Amino acid sequence: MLSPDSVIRPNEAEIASKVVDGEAIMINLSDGRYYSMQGAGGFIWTCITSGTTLKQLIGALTERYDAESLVVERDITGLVSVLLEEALVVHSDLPPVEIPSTGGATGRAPYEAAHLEVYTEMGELLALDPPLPGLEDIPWSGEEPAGVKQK
Amino acid sequence: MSCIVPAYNAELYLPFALDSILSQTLPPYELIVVDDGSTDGTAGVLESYQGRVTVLTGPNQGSGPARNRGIAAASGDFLSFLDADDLWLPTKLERQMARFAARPELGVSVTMVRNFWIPELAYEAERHAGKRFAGPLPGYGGTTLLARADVFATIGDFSTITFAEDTEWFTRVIDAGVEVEMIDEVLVLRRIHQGNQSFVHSDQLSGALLEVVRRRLVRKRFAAGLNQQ
Repeated sequence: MLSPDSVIRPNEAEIASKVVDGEAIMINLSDGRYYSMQGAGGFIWTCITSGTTLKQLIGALTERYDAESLVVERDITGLVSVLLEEALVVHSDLPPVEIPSTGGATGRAPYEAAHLEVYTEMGELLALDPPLPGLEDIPWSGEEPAGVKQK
Repeated sequence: MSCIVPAYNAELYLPFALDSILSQTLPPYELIVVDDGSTDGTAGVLESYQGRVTVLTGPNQGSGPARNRGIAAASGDFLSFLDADDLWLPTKLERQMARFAARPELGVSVTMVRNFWIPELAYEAERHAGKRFAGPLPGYGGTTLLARADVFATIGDFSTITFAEDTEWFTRVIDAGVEVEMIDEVLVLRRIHQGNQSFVHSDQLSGALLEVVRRRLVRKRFAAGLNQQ
């Protein structure tokens, strides 16, 4: 159950990620699933990186983007639920880091909701890579990459 | 059919790799070893194979550029690759070439791989025993692949994303619709030792894979954009 003050942070045990040109790109190194979040997604992931709460995220987004607080709250609640389901983020006991205020000095940017794009076709391509410690016994899906036949 | 082996400080295991190529039931027409600026006894090992291998030398540039130098020098219509610390089972090339004969549309053949640990890493082998990393694994990499030479002409060479240059190449091949087939049998053995690049540099491997994925997303979106026009 996600409460406004629950702290979430990236699932560093399995996830590698980076933000490039406002887009968050993530890979689950245990199964090869990879993800993208565009729109406000890069900013959201950067906030999540150090540990944050729903309340903090909603506050930071409404400060940075030209959007109604209720719209942001609805979008973010849905998004974070999906991030938890995909094991991209986990609940954390560590305190969140405050998101620096942008102060609104340059005006709010147009808001584009972030959606999580999920891609599952790379698992087998990554099967030979050494597993992270603790991930040795997680089986691959057994599915061939899209476009590859098995003989 | 040409075989290309990139080799960097490979004196310990290179003889085993080369012997596994030369004892293939269907040996390659030419065997090219790219000595990628080795500072150990690799050159001496290669001298003992004089007359049986073509050696290219040069400053150290990494395995991607080394493989590419081999591609440029190769004359075969088919190109195969083996890492200097790995082994092929004796029928590997024969089995793959049979697939190309059966399927003219096939562009790339790969096989399953089994890892094996050097004796000094027996505790690691024990740790993985019964788990996925010790079992047969799909080998989409530069140690299993055998491709028609014209696939490289169309798709391009290996990139310079160190530690993930073969994964990146496969994403381009698959995204371009080239026919790729996996032979569901272990025909390649990968040696796990202290020098394995991807083990030593796991943070850089993650970074490299993120770049591979980023490029794939760019291609997908470009293709989707074209489809909408």
